[in-house]
Amino acid sequence: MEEHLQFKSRSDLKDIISTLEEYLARPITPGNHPTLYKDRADGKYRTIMGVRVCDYKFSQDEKWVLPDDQMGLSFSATWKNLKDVHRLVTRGVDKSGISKRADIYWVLQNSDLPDNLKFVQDRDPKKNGHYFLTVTKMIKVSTLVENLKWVSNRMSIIKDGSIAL
Amino acid sequence: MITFRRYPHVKDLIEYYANDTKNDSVLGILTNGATNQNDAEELSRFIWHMADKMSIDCNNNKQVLGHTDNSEMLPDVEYEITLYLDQLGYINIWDRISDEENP
Repeated sequence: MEEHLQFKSRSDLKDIISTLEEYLARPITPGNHPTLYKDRADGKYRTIMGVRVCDYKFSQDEKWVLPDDQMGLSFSATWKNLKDVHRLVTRGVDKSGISKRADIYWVLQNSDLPDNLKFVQDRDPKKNGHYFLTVTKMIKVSTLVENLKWVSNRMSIIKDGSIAL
Repeated sequence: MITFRRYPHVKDLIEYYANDTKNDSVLGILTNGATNQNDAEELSRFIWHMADKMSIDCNNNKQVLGHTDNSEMLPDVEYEITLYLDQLGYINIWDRISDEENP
């Protein structure tokens, strides 16, 4: 992690985000991984080795991930997009009765990536400011998992310090 | 009928909580679509209240759709709801309700 910034309010976060250029960000609640998901065995939301089946295109035997430039892990590139997601994931309180928090994990749009991954803007005209971390060629699921971990290790964090308020 | 193509589990989640809270208006919107500004407002406000209820259920270890914590679905909810309302020309309603719900 290159930078360790902290915010104590959404207004603080907006100020910090405004200083970043061409960022791609994901709000992540404590205990969750920035690029992988907790395993779910069944349903439309199930995962394969921590990768959601709704995020990538899998081969029939589910051992491979197929390239698709409009499928991939979701990232926000604008404050409006990030604000809505952040407000939803921090809605309510945790088991201690404290308002839910989420750290912001981010990378630059032109960051180095493994050569089989690429950030691609959502082509839907209503989704300006939304990007996918796509797969550019057929790779094993295990390779994607390793690459997603590689990306997560290079993401910077803006820590939610609101608990101190 | 509203369908969410990218994240189809979003509809299951909204449907679950609309049934759980006996919100016939939202169930009607899921079936017939948001046909006017009132529907868009109702759906927008429901999403925020659903997120509240999800937090309560998670804290009470209540199983919803087979799991006690569905909060990782919330970014998908944001994606689908804003896309749906924007396509209908109601994104300003979502923005207004969201600001009201998060002063």
